[in-house]
Amino acid sequence: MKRGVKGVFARKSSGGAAPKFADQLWDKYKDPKDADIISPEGVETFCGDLGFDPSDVHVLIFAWQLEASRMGYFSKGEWTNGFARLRASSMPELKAVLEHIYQETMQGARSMHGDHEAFRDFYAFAHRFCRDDNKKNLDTETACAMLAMLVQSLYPRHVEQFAAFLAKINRTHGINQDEWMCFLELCRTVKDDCSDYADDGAWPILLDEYVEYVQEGCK
Amino acid sequence: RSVVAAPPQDGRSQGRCPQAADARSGERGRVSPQGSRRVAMPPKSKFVIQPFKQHAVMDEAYVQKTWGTLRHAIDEIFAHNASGLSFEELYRNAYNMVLHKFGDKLYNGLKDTVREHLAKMAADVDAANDQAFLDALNKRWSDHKLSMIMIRDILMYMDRVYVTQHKKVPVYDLGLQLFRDDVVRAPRIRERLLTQLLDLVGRERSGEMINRQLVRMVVAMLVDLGKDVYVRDFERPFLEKTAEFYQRESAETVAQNSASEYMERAERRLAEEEDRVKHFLDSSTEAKLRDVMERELITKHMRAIAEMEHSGLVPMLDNDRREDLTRMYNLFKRVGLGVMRDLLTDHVRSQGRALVMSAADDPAPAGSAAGADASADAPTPSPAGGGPPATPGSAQARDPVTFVDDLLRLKGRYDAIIDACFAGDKTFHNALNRAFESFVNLNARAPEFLSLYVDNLLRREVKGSSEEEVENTLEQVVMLFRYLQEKDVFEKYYKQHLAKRLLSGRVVSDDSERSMITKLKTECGFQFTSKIEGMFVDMKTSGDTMAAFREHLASTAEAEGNDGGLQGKVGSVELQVQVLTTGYWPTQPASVCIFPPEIQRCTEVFARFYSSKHSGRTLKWHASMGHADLRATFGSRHHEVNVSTYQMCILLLFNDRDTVSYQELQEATHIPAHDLKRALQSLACAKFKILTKEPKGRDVGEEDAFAFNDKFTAKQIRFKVGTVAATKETDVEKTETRHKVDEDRKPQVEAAIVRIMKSRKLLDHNILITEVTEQLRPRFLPDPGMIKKRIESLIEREFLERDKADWRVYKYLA
Repeated sequence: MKRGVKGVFARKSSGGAAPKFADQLWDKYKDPKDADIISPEGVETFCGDLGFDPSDVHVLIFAWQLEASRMGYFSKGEWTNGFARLRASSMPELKAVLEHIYQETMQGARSMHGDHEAFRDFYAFAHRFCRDDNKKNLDTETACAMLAMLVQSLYPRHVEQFAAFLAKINRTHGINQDEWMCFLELCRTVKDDCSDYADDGAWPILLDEYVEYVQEGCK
Repeated sequence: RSVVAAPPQDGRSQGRCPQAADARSGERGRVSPQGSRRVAMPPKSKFVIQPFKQHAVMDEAYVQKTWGTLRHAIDEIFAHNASGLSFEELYRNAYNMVLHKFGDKLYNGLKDTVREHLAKMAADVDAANDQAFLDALNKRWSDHKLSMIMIRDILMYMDRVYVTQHKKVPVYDLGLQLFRDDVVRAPRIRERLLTQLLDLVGRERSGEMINRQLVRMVVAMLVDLGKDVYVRDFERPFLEKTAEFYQRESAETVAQNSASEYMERAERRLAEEEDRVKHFLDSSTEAKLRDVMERELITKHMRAIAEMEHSGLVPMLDNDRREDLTRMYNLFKRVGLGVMRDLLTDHVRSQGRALVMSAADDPAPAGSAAGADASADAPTPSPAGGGPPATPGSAQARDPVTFVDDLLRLKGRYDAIIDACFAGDKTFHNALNRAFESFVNLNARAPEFLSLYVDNLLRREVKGSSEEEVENTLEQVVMLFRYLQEKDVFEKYYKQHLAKRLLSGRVVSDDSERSMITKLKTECGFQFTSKIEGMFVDMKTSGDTMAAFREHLASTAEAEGNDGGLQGKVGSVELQVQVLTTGYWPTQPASVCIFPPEIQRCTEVFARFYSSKHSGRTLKWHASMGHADLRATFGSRHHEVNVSTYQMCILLLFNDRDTVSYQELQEATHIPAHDLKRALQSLACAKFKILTKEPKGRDVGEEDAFAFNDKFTAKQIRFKVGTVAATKETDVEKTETRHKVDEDRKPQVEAAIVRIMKSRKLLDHNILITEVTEQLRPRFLPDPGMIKKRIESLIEREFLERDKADWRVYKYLA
C-alpha cells in the first residue's frame, strides 16, 4: 500500500490542493441529516461521479486507502486522512491514482518475488470490510464474490474449485478471517490440483477438506 | 689351585699367561681385574700393590676346555645324570667364560647343545604311537623344565651379566623357546598334538572318560610356552572345532527334538563346557568358549526354538510349562531376551485382541431380551487364578463382567509367569503393560465395561466376598484403568453407575465405595473425583432435608389436625426425595412422566417446602431414577411390592381399570417407549407376573394389552420387581454418552492449548499438538483433528493468531 502511494507521489506533486479538494467533495456527498458521515446514497453518487460501479474493485481500493471501517459509509476522519494520503486534487487524478494503486498491488501479487504484502493487506481488508457488523465470518456468498473479484485473475482454478466446494458442502456460516487468509496462502503455495499439499496439519480444517475434495477429483 | 694357562694356539690371542692372582682376586670380588687402577689405596698405607700391567687374556684352548666341561655337564643334565657334577666348578667355568668375553660362545654353545637334545626329544616324541604321544610329550616337557632349571643355575652369571648386557633371552626362557620351536612346533608334532587334544575333547564330549590330568598338563605346557602359543596352537582351532561341533549337534537337535528337550540339552552342554574350562583349560578361554557356545546353541536357534509350533514359547505359555519357561528365560538371558519378549508380547496381544474384539462386536443390545431380572443376576465372576486361558470368542466373553474378568485373568496369568519364571523381569512387565494398553483400548466400550464391572462388584460384595477380596479386585481394576486411554469416558460411566447405586439404595459398603474413589483420586488427581465426591455429599444433605421435611409436615399437620402428616405422610403417601445438584450427577434425559394425582400432590408439597428453604432453586423430577413401595392386594392376598417409579405409575392405573392397552399406558404416563417397555416387561414377563399380557410372549409390543393379575401369588410378603440394573448401554445411549464426552473434552482441550501457549508465546502447529496430547494423556487421548478445531476456534475468538512471518506458527494473544 505504502509503495503504491509513494509511486503516485513521486510523479504528482499537487500535494497542496488535496485538502481543499477533499473538503469540496465532502460537502458535496455528506449525508444531509448527519454532517459527520457520508452515507450509502452519498457513496453511490460519489461512485457514479467517479465513473465506477459501486461494486467495482476500484471502489474497494478506495475504501482500503481510506481505511474505511464500515461498508457504505465514510467518516469525516477517514475521508480527510485518506485524501491526505492519496494526494489527488481532482476527480480524474483520483481515478488515475486508484487505478495506479490497483495495478501496483496486483503486480506485486502476480510476481513471484514481488511485494506481496500490499495485496495481502488489501485481501485481508476485503474480509474485514465486507462482513456484516459484529460478525466474525464473511458470509459464503459475499466471500465467493470477493474471491472472484480479487483472486480470480491470479489463481483462477483454485477460486473456481473453492467456490464449487463451498457450494457442495453447503457452508452456511461463512468464512472466518483465518480461513480467508489461509486460503490465499494456499493459492500461493499449493498447485491447482493440490497434489503437492503438505499435510503438516496447520491448515484450517476447511482447507483440509477443500484439498481432499480437489484430490478426489472435485466430486 | 691355580690354573696354568696353555700357550695360545693361534696368533689371534696376544695375551700373556694369565696370573693366578687375577682369577683369585676376581673370585673374591675385592679388586676388579681391569679396574685395579681405579682403586685408590688409602694414603696411609705403606704398601702399594701394583696392578698387573698385562691384560689377562684367556687363551683359546683354555676356552675350549672350559666349554668342553660345561657342555659335558649340560649333556649329563639332559641325560638325568647330574648328580656327579660340581655346581661350584661349573659355575666358575661359566663365570670365567663370561668374564673373558666368551659369553657369545657360551650362549651359542648352550643354544646349540640344547637344540641337539631337543631334536632327539622331538624324534622320540614323534616316534611314540598315538596313545603314548601326549604322555611322551608331557614327560619330555617336565624333564626339559627341570634340566633348564639346572642349566640356568650353572649359567647364572651369564644370565646376570652377558644376557642383560646383550639383551639376549635368559637361559631358562631360551630353553622354553627352543622347546617350543623344536619340539612343540616341529611340523609333525604340532599337528599331532593338536589333533590329539581335540580328539580327546571330542571324545569327552561324546561321553567317554579321558585322562583329564594329562590334558591339563599339556595345556598348561602350552600356556607356559607363552600365551600366543596357547592361543595359536590350541585355543583358536579348539574354538573353531567347538563351533563346528555344536553347530552340527544343535542343528540336529533342533530338527529332531522339542524345544524343551533342546533347551535341556543346551543347558547341560553349557554346564559341561564350563566344567571343562575349569578342569583343563586356561581360564582365559572361559569367556571365549562361552561366546562360541552361546552363539551356536542359543543365538542361532533362539527364534526357531521359541517359535516351535508344538513346543515353543507359545505352547509353553498356553500349557503353563513353568519349568520350561524358566529354562528358556535363563538360557536366552545369556544372549538377549528381545526375541522372547517380542513373542510373548505378540502372543498376549493376539489373545487380548481376540478377547477384546469378541466383546466389542456384540450384536445384541443388552437388556432387551433378558429383561431386568436377568441382567440383575449377571453371571457371577468366576474365581480368578490358574486354569486354562480364557477362551476368546466364546459367547460368554461378551458380557462386561466376563470381559473384565477375562482381562484380569489374562493379566494375572502372565504376571504370575513373569514373577515365577522370569525372575520378575521389569522389562517383561513393561512389555506386558504395553501390550495390554494396546488392546484394551481396541474396544471402545472398555471404559464402560470396566465401570460396569465395578458396579457389579460393589453391588454384590456382601453376598460372597470379604472386604479384603473386594479391595484386591478393586486394585486390579485400577490397574486396568491405567491402561485406558479414555479415562474421562470411564469417569462418565462411573458416575452414571454410581448414581444408580446411590439412588436405588444399592450401595452396600460405603468403605469400598470410598476406597475406589480414593484410588481414582490417586491415579488422576482431585479434579477427576471432585464431582463424584459431590454426589456423596448430596446424599447426605438429602437425608437432612428429608428429616426437616418430615418435621415440617408434622408441624403443619398438627395445625390442620391431619394424622397422615404427623407420620410424615402427604395424604397416604410417604415421600422420600433426594435432591441432587445439577452438574455433580450425570445428566439424565429430562424425564417426561405424568405422575398419578396422589404422587403429583406430594411433589408439589415438597417443592413448596423446598423453595421456602432455598429460594431461587428449581427442582426437576427425575422419575427414571426413583423407586416405590406399593401395598397391593391380589384376591385376598396382601403383598408389599417394591417397584421403580415408572412401574408404580403404571400399576396405579390399574386401580381404576383391570385392562389397559399399551397405547393407553403410553398416553397416560408419557413414559418414553424404551423405558415403558422395559418396565412392563419386568411386570408381565419376568419372575413376578403382577400383570398379564395379551398376547403372551417375552417381548412387549405396542399392540399388547395388559391386565391386572388377580391370581398372582408369591411366597414372600415383600418382594422386589427387578430394578433395572445397570447394563450395557443401547446404541442410542452410547452415541449420547459419546457426544457428552466430546462436549466435555472441548473446554479441556482449549484449556490445555491456552495453558501451553501462554507459557510458550510462539509455537509451531505440530509441537503444539504434541504438547496438548501429552498434557491430556492422563485423561484421554485427544484426536489431532479435534485439537485443530479448538485451535481454530481460539483463533476466531482471538486468543491466538497466526504468526505474520510463518502461518504455521501460532502466537498467544494476551
